[in-house]
Amino acid sequence: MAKRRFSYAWLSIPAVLLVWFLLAWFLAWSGEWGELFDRFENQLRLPQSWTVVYSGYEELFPLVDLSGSGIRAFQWDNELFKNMYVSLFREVVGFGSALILALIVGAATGFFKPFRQFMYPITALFQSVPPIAWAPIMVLVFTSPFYQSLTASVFSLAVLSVIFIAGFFPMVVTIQEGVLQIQGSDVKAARVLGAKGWQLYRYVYFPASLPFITTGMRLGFSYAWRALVAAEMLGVEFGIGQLILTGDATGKTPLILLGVTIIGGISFLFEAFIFKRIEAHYSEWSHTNA
Amino acid sequence: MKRVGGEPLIVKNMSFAYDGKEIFNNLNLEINAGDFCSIIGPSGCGKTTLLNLLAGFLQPNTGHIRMHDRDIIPEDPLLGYVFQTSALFPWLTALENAEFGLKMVGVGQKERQKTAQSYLDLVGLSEFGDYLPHRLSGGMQQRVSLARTLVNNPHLLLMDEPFGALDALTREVMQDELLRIWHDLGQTVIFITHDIDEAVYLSDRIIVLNVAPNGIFTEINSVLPRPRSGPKTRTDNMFWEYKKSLIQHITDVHH
Repeated sequence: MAKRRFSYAWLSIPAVLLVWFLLAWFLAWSGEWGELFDRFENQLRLPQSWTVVYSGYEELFPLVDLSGSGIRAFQWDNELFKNMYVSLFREVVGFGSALILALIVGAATGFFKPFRQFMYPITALFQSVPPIAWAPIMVLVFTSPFYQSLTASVFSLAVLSVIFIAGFFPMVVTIQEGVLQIQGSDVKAARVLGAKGWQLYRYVYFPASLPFITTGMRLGFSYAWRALVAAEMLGVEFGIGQLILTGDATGKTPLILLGVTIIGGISFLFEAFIFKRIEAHYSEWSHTNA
Repeated sequence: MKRVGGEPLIVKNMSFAYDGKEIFNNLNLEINAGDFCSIIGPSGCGKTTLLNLLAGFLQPNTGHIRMHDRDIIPEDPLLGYVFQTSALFPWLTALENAEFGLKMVGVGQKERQKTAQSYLDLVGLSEFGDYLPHRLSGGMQQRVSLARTLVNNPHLLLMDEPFGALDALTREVMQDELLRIWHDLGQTVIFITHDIDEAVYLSDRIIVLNVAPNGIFTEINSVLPRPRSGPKTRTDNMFWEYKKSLIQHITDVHH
């Protein structure tokens, strides 16, 4: 039996919670008297972690009636879930379309040098501009009368285009690298073993670049996710970005931190349970360091 | 698995230049079916280029390279190629690597696994079919490369310094393995090396390549009897005599 080694990663969450606790406590203790606070926290400035958890409970278990009975019950169509669904939906659509196009463009730039040269300045431009900087212009473009009906819905083209820009270019670059690092000797070996035409793509080029494709997906997903939340703060309906804005506008500070926690949590779940696992599959023989 | 026959490999009036630099000028060469032929020469004399031409990876500027009256192309099923460092596909297991050639011609999974396994047995790696290449030693990787190439039952086996990256002891073991397999299967082998002992021990014929352009080269036929057996052959007087004359030839070529 192999002994399970202790990982210091387990200390990080308690450490963050401790600092949070001390900071919130200090803020309450040093804050302006007369504001809403008790001994441990000032809920308007920096709520304690348990208050954030409780605000999550309040969202998931809304009041049954407004008569003041105080009875709460779980509801599937609560605001919190709705915001999460909408954000995830936008991520899947924006990231998914970016991935499909990045596979095509990345493969094309990898295989054809002229196209690679042509794409390089474009990729460099888009990668050096923070994706959120495109948001205002996208909102203007996609709120023109022609797109009005689409923009009004949760399927916001302005937000989707920002996610697309955020995810597409890092994926193109990584997939292109994947094609470029394919060993000439692998291709030669396949040819003398009788591989012809499409067989070379199916059995050599594709598997040889798969580690880079999955690394590209991981990068693209996280870039897109970050851009998504930022873009949602620019005036769209629903989404976790909107949840945070609502918390700010209505003075419900716990909602801001709840939104932040959910953003990190979803990103972590995708990393740990999807992308890390796919990557681990290739880590044995691949040396991708993206 | 039986001895394969076949026709000679013919290189006729072949010239090749790369980047304006003439590497071969009017080269003529005929290698008989079933011969074990080594090509020896200093680095940069065009050994690997010659092998790439023989495999059809490069095209001669004039002249031709033919076997069975047709120009050789890399995809020719009669052709096998073993690379300097094992070019095993790192994402496939040893067995899957060995199956690759059969998969390309559409042999069913059961049958190709069985055939591939028999060739892993042949190179002494029966138990290692499940291993990914990076978990195998350099010598074992070259054995898998050899098995993968032999599965296609090539008549012509081109080997580009296949044992060059191995340590001396492993190299001698691999040389004996290769001779044993060649003796059983009887392909034509063209073996590139810069190791004189290796060339002497393995070959029927040794071709000494001149520094480019190689219009002319020296050729020596072996007098060593077969079968050759490790220590006995390597310490035989004839081995030393032969080696001495080969060194003399090489020295002549380079002065």
